[in-house]
Amino acid sequence: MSPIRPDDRWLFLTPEVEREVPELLAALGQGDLEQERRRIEAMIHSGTLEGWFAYLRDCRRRLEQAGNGERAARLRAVLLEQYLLVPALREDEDNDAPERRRLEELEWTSR
Amino acid sequence: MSVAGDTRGKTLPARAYTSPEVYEAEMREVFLKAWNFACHVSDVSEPGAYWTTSIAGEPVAILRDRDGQLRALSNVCRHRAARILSGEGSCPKVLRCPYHGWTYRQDGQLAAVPEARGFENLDREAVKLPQFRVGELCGLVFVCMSDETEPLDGYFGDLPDRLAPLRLAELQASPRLPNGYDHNWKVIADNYLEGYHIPVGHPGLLRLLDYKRYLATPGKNHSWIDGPFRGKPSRHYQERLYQRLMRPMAGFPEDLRGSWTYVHLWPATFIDIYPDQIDTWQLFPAGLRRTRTEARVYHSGSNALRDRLVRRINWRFNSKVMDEDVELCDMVQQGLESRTYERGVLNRNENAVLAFHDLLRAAVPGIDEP
Repeated sequence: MSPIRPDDRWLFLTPEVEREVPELLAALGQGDLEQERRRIEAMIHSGTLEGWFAYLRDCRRRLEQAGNGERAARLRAVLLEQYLLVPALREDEDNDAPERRRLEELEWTSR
Repeated sequence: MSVAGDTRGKTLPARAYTSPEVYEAEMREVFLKAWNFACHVSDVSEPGAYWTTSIAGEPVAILRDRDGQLRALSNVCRHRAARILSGEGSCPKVLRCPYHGWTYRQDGQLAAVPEARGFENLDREAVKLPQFRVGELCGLVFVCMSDETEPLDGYFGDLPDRLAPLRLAELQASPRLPNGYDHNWKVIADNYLEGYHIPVGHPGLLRLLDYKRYLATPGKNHSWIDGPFRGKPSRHYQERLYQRLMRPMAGFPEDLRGSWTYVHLWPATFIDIYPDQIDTWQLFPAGLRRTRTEARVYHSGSNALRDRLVRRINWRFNSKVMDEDVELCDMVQQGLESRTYERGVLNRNENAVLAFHDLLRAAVPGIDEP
């Protein structure tokens, strides 16, 4: 019914983010749990790879505002994993390397 | 503590999928000793009704005799080894071999032989079709060829309590839907048992099911896998149509209405529990790298246009998933032949694979040796 089309392939990125990011953002005071869940589910249904990475950039911005700690480190690890997975779908250097490097070098601006 | 040779969290070795010795041991130690699903109770409800199947290549006929007793008999004529009964049907009084006409009573005892006086060395009283253990559980009929295996009642642990509300016995069963694949039977079973590949292999399923709540719970000789629906409508027309039109079968349990549920019955039967229909899917190992399958579909019998349409969409959707799985299994089967691959590791989302492999480890001596 719905063959694995090129525009569906990015969905493989979503499970860990869907499972962990809403709770981490909420715990870090950087988002509302249900609102984040709805946002992710909407993208799984009708989003695009570009929209997904726009969301991840938004998560990174909020992460930068969060205090350092175990949860922030976990969120950083989950986000970073996305940039290690996405080269299977598109050129890293052209699209994602700057953001990946930013996460790798992330220093928290507030505590 | 990790020790050398520690197989915790690891798959079976590749050799378990490619060794003729392991395959033979599986037939002997797994299939001939297990309670194997055979048919739906409606297939053998009337006196004389029979259903044929095979276990580890052994032809078996299940039949309801004239006294209402369920029997499982070897379906091999004692004369020249021809298969006696084929497919399914009715033999109201006796079983007659289609080759030379040897005729057996419903309890397997030889009743008559054409040209009987022409045999120099025939002891008619001693000729009887071997009988096997047979039992019924939640509307499904099972056969066991070993006398040492525990009774069917407790064989699947608490699974009957979970299957009973489905009232499987009351559903209408489809004919057999046969197929075949060039895979070792465990490659297919492994693939069925884990949801870890869904995001990569089945994007359509990812939109329909809430993967973060996809959960496999291994039990005694079975695994129960919950695949809850997402609340949100899919953007794909047919997926959305299924979500909108699907209505559970009458009497379908409330707690399963929001899910697709998958059940593995050791060793090689699977039950797909959809609110609109239920499928069984059996694997019949037909060689080291060949597996024959039979699917059946069960539903309430509603012929309303809406219900037929939903069942049709369901079938199309899952046929697509099946096509995707066949491609994946092709790749795995090839990879298992690689000289560089020994064994893999398992994610927590592959816990039902681990449980399946542990059952194999317990049943088949030496299966874990690389």
